[in-house]
Amino acid sequence: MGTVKNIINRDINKCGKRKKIKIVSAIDKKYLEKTYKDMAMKGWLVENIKGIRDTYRPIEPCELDFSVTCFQPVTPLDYPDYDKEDTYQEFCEDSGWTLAAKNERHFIYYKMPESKALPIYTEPMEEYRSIWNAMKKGELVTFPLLILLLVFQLWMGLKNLRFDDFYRTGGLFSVTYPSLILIVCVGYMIPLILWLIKNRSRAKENKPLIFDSYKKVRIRNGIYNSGLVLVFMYLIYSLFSMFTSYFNLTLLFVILINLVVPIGFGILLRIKIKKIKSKRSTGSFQS
Amino acid sequence: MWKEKNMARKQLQNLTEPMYYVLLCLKIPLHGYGIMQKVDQMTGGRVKVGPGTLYHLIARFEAEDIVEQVSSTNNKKSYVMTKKGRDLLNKEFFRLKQLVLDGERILEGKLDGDS
Repeated sequence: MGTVKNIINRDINKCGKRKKIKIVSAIDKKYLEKTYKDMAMKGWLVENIKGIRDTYRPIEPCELDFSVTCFQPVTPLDYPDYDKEDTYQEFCEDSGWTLAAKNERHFIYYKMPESKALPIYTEPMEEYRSIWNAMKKGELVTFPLLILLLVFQLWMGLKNLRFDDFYRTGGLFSVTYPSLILIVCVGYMIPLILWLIKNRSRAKENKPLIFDSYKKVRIRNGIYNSGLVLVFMYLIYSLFSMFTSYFNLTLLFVILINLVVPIGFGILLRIKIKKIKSKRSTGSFQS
Repeated sequence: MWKEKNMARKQLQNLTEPMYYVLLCLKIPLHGYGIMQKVDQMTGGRVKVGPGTLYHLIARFEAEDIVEQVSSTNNKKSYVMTKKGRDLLNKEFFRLKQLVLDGERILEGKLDGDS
């Protein structure tokens, strides 16, 4: 069938590139597909998806159909199987889809609306399995771990809570802070679990999977992101008020741990990943 | 790994429609897009196998030694059914044939003593 390549590019020097931040989960397929479709209508085609940042290149505005698929999800510590990727790509491109962008989790394909290319997944069970595998290496590991840590932190906070803490500025911080994050995390996990339960039975009955609409995901993400911003603001406020009105060493310690530990962990992980990647590119087990 | 293989084996005991037709196509070596087209032709468009679905089916068949990769020309990989795959397909064919015969006997009144 051949791939669709008649996209007219606009001058990149004149238009530059566009970057957008998005926080989505593996089940937000419809939301992503509509986002990329809308951007193509405005003259921007997604060309790179890295973490939470999407990069778009300028094209002549046109209507394109997108398909966001989860494929062989790999964590930064896994060794990616390029042979499998090539085969998957070969099948998709031969059947009329063109690859726009990919990362360790998603492959984003597009086609012209008039193209008769088959949907990438025609069997609900296969699609369900691909999303399940992506979640197994992502949200379903990190969030339960985070929730456990927060429950522990909350339990410690409640255990050490004294009566006079209720009258002290910031006295309840060790209880309110983990509670707030816990609410955000549980709020993020619930739609994922519900999606898995609902669609597992649908896939078994060979019925098409149901994804949340664009509007629903926007509302959900809006609430989730606002929650994160509020928690962060509360953390900053607590730190600020401590230096202006009172000083509490324990509180300072808790705040610093919550600010420094994730950042430190992120930096360490980044160094580790860089080391592994440089080892792979120079090592003997390069495929 | 063991769990995955065991699960795949369990799923392959009875072939789904796409699985059955993909195996039928692989009596002769064929590449991915060829398989999709042939399934469509064979079934008159009734059964369609998308590229993602096909990729996962082939991967599972390869893991179970039901199909194997035979060549890679023009960057296109071709696959063919192995002896194990042929046995599995034959078994499924006779199972389906038996279902049809039983159905005929009951529905068309060919069952002994039914007339």
